[in-house]
Amino acid sequence: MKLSLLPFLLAIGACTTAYGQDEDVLRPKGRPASLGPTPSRSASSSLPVTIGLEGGINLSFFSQSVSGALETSPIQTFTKGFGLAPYASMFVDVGITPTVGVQLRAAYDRKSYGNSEDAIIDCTLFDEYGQPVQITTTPVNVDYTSAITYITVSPQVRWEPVSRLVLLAGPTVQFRGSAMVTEASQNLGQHDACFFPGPNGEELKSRVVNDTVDDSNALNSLRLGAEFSLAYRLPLTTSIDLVPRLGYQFMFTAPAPAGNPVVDDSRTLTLGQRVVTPSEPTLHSLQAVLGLWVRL
Amino acid sequence: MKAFFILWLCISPLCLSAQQIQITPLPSNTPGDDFAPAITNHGRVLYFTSEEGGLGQRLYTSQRSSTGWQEAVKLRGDANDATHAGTATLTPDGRTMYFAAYEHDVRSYGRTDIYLATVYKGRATEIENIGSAINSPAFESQPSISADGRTLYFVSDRAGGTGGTDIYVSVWNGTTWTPARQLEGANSTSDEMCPVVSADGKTLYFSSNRSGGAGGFDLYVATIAGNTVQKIISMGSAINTPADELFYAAIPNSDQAFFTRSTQSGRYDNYSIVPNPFPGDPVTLVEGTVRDGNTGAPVSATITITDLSTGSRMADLRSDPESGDYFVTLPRGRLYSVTASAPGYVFHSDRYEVAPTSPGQTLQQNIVLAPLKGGVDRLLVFFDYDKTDLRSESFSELERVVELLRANAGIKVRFEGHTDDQGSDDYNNDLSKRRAQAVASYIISAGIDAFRVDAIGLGEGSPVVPNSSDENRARNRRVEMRITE
Repeated sequence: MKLSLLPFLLAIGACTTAYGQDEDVLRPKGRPASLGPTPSRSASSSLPVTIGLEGGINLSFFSQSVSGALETSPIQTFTKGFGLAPYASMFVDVGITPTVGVQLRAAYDRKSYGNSEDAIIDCTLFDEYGQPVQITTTPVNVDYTSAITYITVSPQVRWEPVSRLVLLAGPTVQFRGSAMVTEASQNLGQHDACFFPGPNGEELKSRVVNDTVDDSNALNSLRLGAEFSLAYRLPLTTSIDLVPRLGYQFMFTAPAPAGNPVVDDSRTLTLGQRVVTPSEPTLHSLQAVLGLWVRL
Repeated sequence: MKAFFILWLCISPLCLSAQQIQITPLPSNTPGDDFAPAITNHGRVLYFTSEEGGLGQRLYTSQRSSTGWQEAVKLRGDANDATHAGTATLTPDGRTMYFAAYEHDVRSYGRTDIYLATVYKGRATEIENIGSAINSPAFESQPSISADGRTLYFVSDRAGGTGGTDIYVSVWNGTTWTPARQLEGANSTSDEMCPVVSADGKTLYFSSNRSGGAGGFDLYVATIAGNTVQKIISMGSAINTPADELFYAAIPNSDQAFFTRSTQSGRYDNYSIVPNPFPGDPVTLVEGTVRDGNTGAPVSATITITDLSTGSRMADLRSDPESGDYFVTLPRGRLYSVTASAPGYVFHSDRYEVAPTSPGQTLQQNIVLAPLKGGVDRLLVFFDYDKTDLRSESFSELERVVELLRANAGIKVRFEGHTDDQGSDDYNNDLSKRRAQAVASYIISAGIDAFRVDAIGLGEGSPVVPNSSDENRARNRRVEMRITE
């Protein structure tokens, strides 16, 4: 936490320090100390303040590796995922200089991701009397979708190197705001002789599993990361800008701790059970948002 | 010899106090810094820089009315969108402003840079950094633009200078600013700052803390001669004091000037000085309004000043779109044409001969532009007495005709020659026709299709004024251009 905030604090410190020694249009070396501090935007309590509302989408990227799993195992489906989810934020921006400011943003930050893969599982064929006669394998399509909501707080340094082009960078902190909800399904081909046994003995071609995790031992409640954005101000009025922003949220903290080893029994009959070990997952996001920035 | 010495003393700046100079603080001064007074619109509008309640330096402006200077207001628009913005200089029309800003919203090349703005209705917009020919990563500030808008003086502390801050100059070559060079003869190993070029284009005021002064920064006046300055003299004890004296701005053809002086607290205030002991050469100020010939409505026109003896375009100014007012400054020693042109109108030119010894004068010259359809206007073309050969002073006007015909491919024109009442009717008819044909020939030789150009001679039959004097007869000898289609 402290380490990730350090560059941000240094950046603000550098801006403030540089500003304290400002030149002006009359004095290339700044005013003499006897006249007191250089009047400037940073020296006044009435620093320019901008507030903003943003809305857009998150494109989330999930990644995880599992050791010990077969390449054709259904578990491989869960090693990656991506997907879209809504994003909305509000922020307050305080200008330190005309081109540099600090911004504090709070966001409703929904993440949703999923994947679809073909896998191979064991299949038992039965005769007309319901007796198993053959053990074989069959292809199966596995897909899943997971979703979780964070409340994200991002203190950012804003820099406008070219008029209207805005760069933002700084740390970001995510507070988990919901359980992780996952829906996974397995689908067999319609003409396949294999089936999933239903609870009442029926033969099913697909099955769905829903899982909700709201355990702070299984999900990290607080995640740290860094956010970088590129934005462009399109003035609508003298005090309101329409601002498209493209941001990247790189999280140092995983959404969940590394899981315990689990048994992959998808090929128990043909190859035997396998113990697989998942690594610590990663979840990063690309954000495309449109905002209204209002100078107060 | 002693008498000569006393006489010399009394005509030198050391005797300025004998002129009972009145130095008065401006009512717009604030407890903070107020500095860099700058004049435009022939002394009707004052710009200066002031601290904005601890928020940094900002540009302010005040207008002169019949009751004096009105309350100063912060310049609206985008110029002040900076940590510090100030030290403005404007062309005589008040439409083009150069100013300095530190950390402006518009990109800089480093520290304080010089920017360009368009001023309209009290708003400065279209802010541009004027580029790397003038700005550098170092400090560039305190610009001063000549009355023709072609020469920019400014201050920089860039490496390679003579010492401290130096005065630099750049010239507009028609498309770009030439790379800035040190103003030869002006700079010392000390700091030179606050250059202000007078309306005559020859007198330069600046400040320096060089040795031999009264203390702090003192004001100096010098003569610009080509690429150098000469005859640098201190403004003397009547103006220079142990405090800092900066930014000496003189109203052209007036006995009033403004300058900046530091106060006991070390901050700066603006002062008026009357009479101005260091006026530049008198200039001819031309002003008036540009209006539509049919409706009388103000016209936003380009005002082009041409040196008729060389044909070179000296300045492009603009009339005020709202009022039609235009302001032109003509230094002495040249023959000028002042042309107003606007899309959809026939241009109009007037000739001004400003002799090398001409006294300062202000000429009121309203301009009426005829709408293009069916429009007619007198051309500024010249012939020798009783001849039909176009004199070279006519060429710039004729090029404008060519430009007009190229820009409006659908129109046709007829040149109508007129004479005064001297000579017989037949002779005058013939002379006027041959002169109109000479104009038509020039236009056709410049590449305009002959079928678009016609020429007739109308002799002495259509005078614009009675042929009662040499001056009136000169006005009646003319070639007019009529848009026929």
